Amino acid sequence: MSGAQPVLVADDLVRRYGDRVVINHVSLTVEPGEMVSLMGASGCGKTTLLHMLGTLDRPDGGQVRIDGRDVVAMSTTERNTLRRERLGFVFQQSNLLPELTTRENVALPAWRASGHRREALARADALLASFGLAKRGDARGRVLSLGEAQRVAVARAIINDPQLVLADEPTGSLDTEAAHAVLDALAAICAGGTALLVVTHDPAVAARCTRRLAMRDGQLQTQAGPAAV
Amino acid sequence: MSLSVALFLARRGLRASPLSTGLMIAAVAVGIGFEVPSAANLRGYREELLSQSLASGFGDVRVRPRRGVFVRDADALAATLARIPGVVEATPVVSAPASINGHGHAVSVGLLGVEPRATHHPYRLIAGKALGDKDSDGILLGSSVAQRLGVTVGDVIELRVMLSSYPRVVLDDGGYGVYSMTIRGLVGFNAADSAFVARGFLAGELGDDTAASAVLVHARDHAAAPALTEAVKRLAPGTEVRSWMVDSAYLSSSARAAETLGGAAWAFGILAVGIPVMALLYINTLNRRRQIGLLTAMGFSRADLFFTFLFQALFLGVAGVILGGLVSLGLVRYLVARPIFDWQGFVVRPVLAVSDLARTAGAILATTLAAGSYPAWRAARVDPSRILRGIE
Repeated sequence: MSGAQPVLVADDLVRRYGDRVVINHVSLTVEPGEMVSLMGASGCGKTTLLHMLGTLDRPDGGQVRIDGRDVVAMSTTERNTLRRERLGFVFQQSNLLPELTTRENVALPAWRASGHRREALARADALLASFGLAKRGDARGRVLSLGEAQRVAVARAIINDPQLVLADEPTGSLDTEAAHAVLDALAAICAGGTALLVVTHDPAVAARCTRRLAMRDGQLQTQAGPAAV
Repeated sequence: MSLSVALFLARRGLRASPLSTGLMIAAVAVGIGFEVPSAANLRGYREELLSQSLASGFGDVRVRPRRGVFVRDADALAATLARIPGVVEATPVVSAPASINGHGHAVSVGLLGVEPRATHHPYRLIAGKALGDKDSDGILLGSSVAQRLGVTVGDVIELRVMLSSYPRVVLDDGGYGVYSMTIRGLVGFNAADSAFVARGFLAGELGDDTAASAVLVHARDHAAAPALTEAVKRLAPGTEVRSWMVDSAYLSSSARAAETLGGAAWAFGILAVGIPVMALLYINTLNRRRQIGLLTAMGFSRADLFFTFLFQALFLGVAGVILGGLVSLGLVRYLVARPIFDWQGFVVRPVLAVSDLARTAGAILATTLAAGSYPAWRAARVDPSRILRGIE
């Protein structure tokens, strides 16, 4: 990864909810293809940090640069475009739009980005096939198992070839087998050069990552590299 | 912004909640289904009222003598007035007080001599046939009079006419004429307490074949009566000329009341559509906040979200207007066949004007869109971070 521009650079981030400091001067860099885990107790600020890095929330202080661009200073429209073209999200559950089929769920970001529905659906079909979900293309989200739904969510997160995927407890609701399948899918996208930042409580998930971060009371405590893992 | 994606999501969103979608379409359809027949009935009432009181009544402009009992040279005057642009007919009538005896009962009536050949008469026939041109022993009886006397078409009654009011008549037999008349037909509503004979007959009995108490001027457009009154005044000096608005204050008040009532019902109907649609769309938006958060995370813009929910309102509005339009057309047809009011020839049948239908459909569609705008605006402004974390 050396020599390439970092996908994400967060510098001295601060986020307050009223008088409470939730993110306390956090700095972080993520390189292309990195698979980074972020662990910590509930309420320590993991999801808040993830949302700020993903431009879903604005910090009260500090800077976030994605692909070299300062996203904090961006307008809402520019942030929307950035999320659409450079970022992918996977959440713990209820990731899919229940009124859409699996392939429509996956194709939606690509259709929105390109304006071409047919090509987006073809791309979604290919992705679903690569995740072993070819036969579930016309199923609605509510009939999928949790594991299948999460793999569909991963497919949707990467359909626009993002530089960074942000995953918030992607295996939190899954059994071991389903969790492994989702982790395999996430690992596969990193192999293609996409960076991954995954918030998790599960040490097994962290163990699959190339770098582990721990968070406590709004601050990053440790940064363990591949050797530590 | 991608309108095609917004349209797609709007359609799918509605299909995902068939109950609330059905309820919202029903709310719009009920609004149209109420508004259109209601407006058509009020229009029908107003048109029937004006028709009975003007076209089948005393005309749009009434010309009476300023002094004396009769209009001078009434036939010539009527011919002159009939040539005024906008006038469809001017017809002289003569009146006299009378009583009618039948089956041992007597009823006082206003007796009018009318021109049988005229197109417009101050009555509408509800049974029997019209008077003949030279009919000297036929009479049309008001339905109330006939009911009180217990007589009907074909019966013979005794007509007593007060002739003494005509100054040049030499009174005999107590100052009234007594005639045996056959009931040719019955007339209703405005004329229910009156009786009608041929003008030639009555004028002759009054001693002047051209006698006329008034000339009734019928206009193509009832609303043009005030302007027409001025034109008639210039051609009929020495007469008293009054439009129906001035001469029949009750009628103009009734017509205005019907319009006011229609306007109020229309406005409340629009509100009755807008409020539930807005509430249901708002609830729908609240229920879909998680999806809105996901879409925002995917990079959907505020405009995308706003138009997604606005298109939902548009779909609902269009579907509701189409459904409501069909329902209202069916209701109107039903009410035409079974009028809500039918009394002595005064029949209120709904009159469906294309302009009313278009105005109501347009207003309800606009109301639905307006009602959908606020939930759409709210959807476009959700805080995705709070929604996705389940804080809101």
